[in-house]
Amino acid sequence: MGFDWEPVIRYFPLLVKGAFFTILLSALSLVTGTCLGLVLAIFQLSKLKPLKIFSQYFVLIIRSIPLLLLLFLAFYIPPIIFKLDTSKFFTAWIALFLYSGVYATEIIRSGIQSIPKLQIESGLSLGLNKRKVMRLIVLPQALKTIIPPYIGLYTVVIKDSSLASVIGYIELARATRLGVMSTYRSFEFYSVALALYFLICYPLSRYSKKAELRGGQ
Amino acid sequence: MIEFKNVNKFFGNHQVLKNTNLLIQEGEKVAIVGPSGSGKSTMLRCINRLEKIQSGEIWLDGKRIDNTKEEAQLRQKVGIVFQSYNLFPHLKIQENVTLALKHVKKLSKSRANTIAYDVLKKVHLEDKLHAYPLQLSGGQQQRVAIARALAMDPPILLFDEITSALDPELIGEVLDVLRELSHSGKTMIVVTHEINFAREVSDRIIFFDEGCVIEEGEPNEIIDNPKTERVSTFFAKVLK
Repeated sequence: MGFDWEPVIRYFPLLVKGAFFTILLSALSLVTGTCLGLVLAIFQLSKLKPLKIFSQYFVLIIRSIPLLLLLFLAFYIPPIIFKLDTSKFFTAWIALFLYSGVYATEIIRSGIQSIPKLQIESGLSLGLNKRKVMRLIVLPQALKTIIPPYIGLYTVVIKDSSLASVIGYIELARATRLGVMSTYRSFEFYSVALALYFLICYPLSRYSKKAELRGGQ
Repeated sequence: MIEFKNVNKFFGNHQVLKNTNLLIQEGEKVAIVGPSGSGKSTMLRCINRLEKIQSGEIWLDGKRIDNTKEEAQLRQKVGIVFQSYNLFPHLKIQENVTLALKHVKKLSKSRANTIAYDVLKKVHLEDKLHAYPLQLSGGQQQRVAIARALAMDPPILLFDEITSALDPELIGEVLDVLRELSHSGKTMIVVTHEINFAREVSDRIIFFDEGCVIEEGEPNEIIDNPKTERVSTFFAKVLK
């Protein structure tokens, strides 16, 4: 049985477009998810009980929902409850935003907690307020512990964004599937898709290794 | 002038300061000595409100500070150096010293750098401006920590067992810096186990035990002729 790469070449623009939407969706989800994670992590470390409890339960609940179900929920809830007609991109983003946000919360929280209390006392003793101690002393140091697991989260989100294909969002996995369905060249299409996913994730993994080495110094 | 009036401080059920009364004059150099766990460090940390007290009053220059809302202002007046240096490992020596100058005193970068150079010169480390803390020895790090506190030019300096974490051969260089500082006219409160150093530098020694001031007085008097059994056994053991 011979390989025929012609259909892949013909569909290549679609695949690239799919890869682009994979990157777009993942990047937006991760940036917003990071903001959510930072806020929830600070809530969890807060002395205010309601914020703490809210954040703990929010993370607990969202983390126990499979991403696939999160996607369905984001797909069905806005039209039914809020009578909102949302785009597929928006739906996929909401699900991945929550998903990456709760994992980011745990990574950021443990990173912040890894900084000794004496560092905070030192900053306060110099007359810095709590917010500046956080921004100038705690977070920059926490970043070193946070980066390696965080890049792990990046690659997980990039790969799991393929689940958004089930609600009809056309990203790399969905584009590949469309190519396969029209030409039946499954091996060719899937191997190219695999290579594209690898190309997207590889630079991040490389960067993670570098950051890890630098952090160890 | 710092004054403690009947200060009580608890950690859970454990009472660390018991009706502590204390009076320290402006410009005075006071050494606080006593066994470990006697509340010396806690007393010190109450002065810049790293610890909150449960009852009593603490006054500084005619202002009550134990319930102050203006913590940042208080802490600019009271510098502290810790046992474990606590430099910021992600910042260069120069940035360690200038951080608060820039972000608390709002000085320009060049002004802050000038001050950093001056204070690092005082601790004989002006050549380490661009090193990172972990590249320095313990003694050097502790001297940077002193410079960092000095940079804010606080009238009061607290030293919390600053030589206890150091290798014996590094203690001398840190005490030398303290010795030089003792002529600066600043109020200095030094919690220490270095009795001979306390005798040499301080105007007064306060002996602390179980959260109370047991005895206080001129260094030679309290070390050589203690009035209480507790103090004389302590010095007998320490100075052996």
